[in-house]
Amino acid sequence: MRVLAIDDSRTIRDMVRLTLEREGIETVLADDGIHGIEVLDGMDTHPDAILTDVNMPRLDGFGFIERVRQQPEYAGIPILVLTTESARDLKLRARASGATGWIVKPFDPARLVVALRTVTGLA
Amino acid sequence: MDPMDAIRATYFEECAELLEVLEDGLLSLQAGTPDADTIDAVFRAVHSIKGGAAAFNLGLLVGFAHEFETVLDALRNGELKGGSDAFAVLLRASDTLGDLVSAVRDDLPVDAPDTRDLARLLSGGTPSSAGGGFVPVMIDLGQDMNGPVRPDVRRVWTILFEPLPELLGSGNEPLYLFRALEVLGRIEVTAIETDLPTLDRLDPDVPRLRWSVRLTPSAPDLTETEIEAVFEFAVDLCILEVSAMQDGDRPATPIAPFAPDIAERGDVAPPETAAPATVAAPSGPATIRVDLTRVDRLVDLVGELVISQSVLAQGLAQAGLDHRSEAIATLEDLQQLTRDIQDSIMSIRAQPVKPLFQRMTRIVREVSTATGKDIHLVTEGEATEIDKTVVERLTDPLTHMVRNAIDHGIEDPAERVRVGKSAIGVVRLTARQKSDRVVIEVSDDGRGIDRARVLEKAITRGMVEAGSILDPAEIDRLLFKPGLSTVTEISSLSGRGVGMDVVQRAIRDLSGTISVRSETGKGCTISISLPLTLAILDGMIVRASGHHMVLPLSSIVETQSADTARTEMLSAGQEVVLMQDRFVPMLDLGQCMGFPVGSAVGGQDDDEAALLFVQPENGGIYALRVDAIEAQRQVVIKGLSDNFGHIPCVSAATILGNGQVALIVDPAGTARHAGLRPETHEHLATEARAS
Repeated sequence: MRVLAIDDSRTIRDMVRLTLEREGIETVLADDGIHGIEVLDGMDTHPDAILTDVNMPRLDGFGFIERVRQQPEYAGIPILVLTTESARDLKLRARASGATGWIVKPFDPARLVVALRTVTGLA
Repeated sequence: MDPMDAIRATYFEECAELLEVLEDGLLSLQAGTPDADTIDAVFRAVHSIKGGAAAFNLGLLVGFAHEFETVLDALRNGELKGGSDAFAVLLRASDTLGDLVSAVRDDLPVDAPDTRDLARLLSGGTPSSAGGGFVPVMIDLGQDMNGPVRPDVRRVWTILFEPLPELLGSGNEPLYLFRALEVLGRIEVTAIETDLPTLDRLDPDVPRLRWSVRLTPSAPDLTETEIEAVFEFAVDLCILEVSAMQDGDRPATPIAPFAPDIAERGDVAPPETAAPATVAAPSGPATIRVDLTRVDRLVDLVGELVISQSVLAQGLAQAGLDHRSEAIATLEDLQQLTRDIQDSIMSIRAQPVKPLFQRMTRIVREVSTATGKDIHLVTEGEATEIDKTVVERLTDPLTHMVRNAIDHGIEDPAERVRVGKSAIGVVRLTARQKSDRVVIEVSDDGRGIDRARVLEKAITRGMVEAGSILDPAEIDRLLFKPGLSTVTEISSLSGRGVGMDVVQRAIRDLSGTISVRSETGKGCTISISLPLTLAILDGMIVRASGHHMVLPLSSIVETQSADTARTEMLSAGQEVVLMQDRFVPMLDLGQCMGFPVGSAVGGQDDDEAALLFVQPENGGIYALRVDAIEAQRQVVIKGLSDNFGHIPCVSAATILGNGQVALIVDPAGTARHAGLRPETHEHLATEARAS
């Protein structure tokens, strides 16, 4: 499985990478929404899933998801939102922008992996 | 290192950067009109600190960051109007956050910080969200909100799953949901095809199939909640009915075996089987993070390279090669390359002084609050870059200088008004590059040095003989002597047993020089001059009294052959020499260094004798007589102070191409040691002209 993970915090990026790579999941990282799109466009094959933070400079997580979903070729990629908020309206916003699901930070590594496996159908 | 430890280290590094962004942003918001981008950046900084802290379970940090974030959020959405009082509170909160980060990083015991000021800010805006300690809660979405019901009989579950049209657009895939269900037990999936339209009416984006899943759990106590958790992300995008039957019941719908291939989609990449690897982002950020020890290793290697090159140059010179020979030309290329490599490596270590200056804004705030003096801090040249080590080691000296400036230099507001100054004192912090040195100055518009008092103090302390008459510059220099404090009661701020002598030692340890200028009633400026790099120096190798010595090239203004020089001997026994149209003092380098006159090994060849006109930092030009100028070369600086302490006239040592050790001359120290003072220059010149 290959996952594109987007977060402006180096700490969170490192943690996501560590968590995923321990499970044998290949991880590609990006710093913010704009960078995420650049990285996504530059990948030779689509990632199996995308993880994105919400609060980021330049382009936030919702903006990123909307931009991704506008492109038919990316329409099917599952996108999970990593958010520190558990408020329901945040989830609704995530949903409205086209997110597949959400994970609350600080994330439970096992739960993140299970969620990724669920949305990608990959082991 | 445990990977988590490495991430923890990264987190604290990131915190330092974020705190800088935070303070920077708050200061610029305080200074100008609020702009949304800056407010966003400030909010994000605190938000990111909180996020990371939560990941490491740093409850205290999470709690405070949360309070802070709440206030910043109010500022962001306009509920809180940022007046100067508000920013004072926010800046204090950023200081507190910084302290908290440091304490947590260093595992120091800390109490929960006071958040009342923050809460008070909010009570003007959104009272409901203020106050109360925030307790970080980890929300596990897999947990049941209604309380688990644990049946004691194994049941078979039937799950009816009907996707709504939006489901596929959200990236959720029914097949994968079924696979996730499979983890819970054995499943049989039946597609319900009753609603399928005819082909010409089929919209491929709208799901028309419904499924019925029969789940035989592997764990006997599987709950409805655990099943629903699988569909968590699809909650609003489907109709889900989960029902339990006693084993043996059969659902009404016919069961067909689950055939995964029918639902396989073409738009998802096939499962990767390759070994996991982190793929470099194609257009990643243009920076990489490198361990400092690796850079330092490079710096050392370049030093060795410079030495080897000197050895090679000397070898070639001794071989008597023609100046136009290819070997010499290649050597010159090599020297240029070495210099380029050196510059490149030094630029890796170079850091802007901005973070250093930012730290001072905090010191100013603290001292200003403690002394009740209103201070306006002006910073200039924040982008000036200097070696990382220097930036780090300047914090303490600079802190001390800034404290001094406010505590001792700037008058009380009432006194300022009385002498016709603005009640707000100004402290100016500037940095600029001057050839291969960086000059950092701290100046204030206070009362200036009270020289009479300094002299009196020095006399009572026995540092100066009673009745001595010293010129102003000499008195100012007394400030750098150990044991001189002009404040009668030791102030809690500046008088921490650290005097300007300690500052001077710290600056000297960095191969820097420090000087002071003061004007009574107008203010005082302390100037620090530091080498751009601590490792390599462009030097002129000279011979004096039979010893090789190196002078920093940057201090040499001009050179001249000694036999054409016009010299005069003045009444005071001071020799002067004509430089262009004026006389400057002349010293003999060998004598200055304490070698006996005429101690040269072998016959002294006067044909080679030369004069170097040198100008130390903030000092007058003088001439140094040497026996010969040998070469102009880069030398690797090897510090002496660790082993020998401070040596007058000498700043460091180096190893020459032939393996010999040579001392590096300190032009300012030499002038001081020989008793030359800027004031005496004028006097000498006048006397020489008259003679």
